[in-house]
Amino acid sequence: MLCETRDLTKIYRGNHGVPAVDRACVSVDRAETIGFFGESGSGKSTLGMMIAGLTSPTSGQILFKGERISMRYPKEVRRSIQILFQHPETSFNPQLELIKSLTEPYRVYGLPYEYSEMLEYLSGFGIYEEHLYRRPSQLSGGELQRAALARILLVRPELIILDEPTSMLDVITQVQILNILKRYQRESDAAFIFVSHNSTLCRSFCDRIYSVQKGVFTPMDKEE
Amino acid sequence: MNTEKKAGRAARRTFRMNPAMTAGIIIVGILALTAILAPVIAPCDPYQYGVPYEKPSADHLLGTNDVGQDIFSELLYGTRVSLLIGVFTSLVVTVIAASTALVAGYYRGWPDKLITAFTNVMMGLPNLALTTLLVAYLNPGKISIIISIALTAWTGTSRILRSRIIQLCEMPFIKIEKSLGVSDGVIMVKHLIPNLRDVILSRAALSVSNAMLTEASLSFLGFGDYGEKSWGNILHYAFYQKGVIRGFTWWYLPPILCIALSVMGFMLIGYYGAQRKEDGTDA
Repeated sequence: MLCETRDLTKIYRGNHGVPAVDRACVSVDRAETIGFFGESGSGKSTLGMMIAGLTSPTSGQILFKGERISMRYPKEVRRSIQILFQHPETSFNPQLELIKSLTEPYRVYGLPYEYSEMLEYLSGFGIYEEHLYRRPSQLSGGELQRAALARILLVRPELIILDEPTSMLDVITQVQILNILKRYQRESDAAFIFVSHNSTLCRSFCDRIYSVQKGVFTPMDKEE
Repeated sequence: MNTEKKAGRAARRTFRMNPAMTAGIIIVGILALTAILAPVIAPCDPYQYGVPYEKPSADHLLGTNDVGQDIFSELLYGTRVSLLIGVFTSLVVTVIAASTALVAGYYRGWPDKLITAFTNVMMGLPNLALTTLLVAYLNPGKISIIISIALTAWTGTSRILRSRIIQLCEMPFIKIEKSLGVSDGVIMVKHLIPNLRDVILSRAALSVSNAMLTEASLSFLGFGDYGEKSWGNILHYAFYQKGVIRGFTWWYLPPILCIALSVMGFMLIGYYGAQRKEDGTDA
């Protein structure tokens, strides 16, 4: 199993002890896509954030490649688990030109950087040189989401949490994003956790689905 | 050339949109010029003694004080001290406030609790009394005044910046940077501070006006820098040498007007910045 959670619970302060995520036991294997399907506020994004190491759990465990990981992820685990958010317009620093945000992974992980190679890589996501020197506010939602995807795939993650990544996009861009993800999964055996409130999309994109209600994660039949 | 044109257009648009901001910039600009050019434009040496209590005349535009020093020249030189203390205090305030806010807002948990508790205690203390006590303890002088005002004036800015940092940390782009493994220091310097620029600048402008006012109060109370001319100092002597009782308006009114005008100038800039942020009209 690539990643699993054991009795993972999150209780936010001021929520009168009501868990946002209640003893969640979910697992995802390599090359697998699992879905968290539920209403807004049901806790599906919170679990995604905990697995990504961005929110600390109140109790429970997260295991990655069989080893328990604590809140401060080691660099390699950090690199292996990435997250793509719903709102592309807030996925980049509004003060920086796109190129500065896109080259950050090269610097952080010491990846070999060649401008022309980066341009070629980005063209696979429909991002070209003319986009690179603009600020996020000067780009469309679709362009930004493709750029956000390009940035996280640069570090070759093994697990990607997709937090409603297509809900703010038009149908054409949705298809583009999902196709890029499927292609990456075929190439790298990466696992995806797909968070969505769209049942049709969840059923078509995921291998297994967890239904989420009031923080409780229950495996459900895809045909249900 | 193109960039210059764009900058010019942006400046014109800003001025058209906000006359208050324009007024603030003009006032502060005049103040800065006066401070720089004081030795050139001052008609007399402000430290030179002469005939006391002269009324305004062609030789002494604002008359002379109790020891015959030219009040107009004193006023021009006073701009230097007031502005210098205002600006440097604001710098120190901004550094203290930004550092504490970054640690509290970014890391949360016990550092946040500790800093917030300390900020609350500091906010509960009477500022002017504490500043006066500190200046008296450190011996009056420019540096001690700057340190004393800064140590008591950072709390408001820190609290505002902390809440803004907490908001920013909830934004996906900060979460993505964390998820990508970008170090805390880089996130703070490259991603948080640039997004706090407008708040920092507006609060810094307000800090300058606050510091100038406090410096004037301290000097008036006799805790100013004795070796230097400042507006508060002029007021101090006007009051204690009975200039106010005798009705020598040319002695005590000009420093009051200068203090009021400069405080207003910085406040207009500061409030404009804050308003611009709230309206979301920043670039």
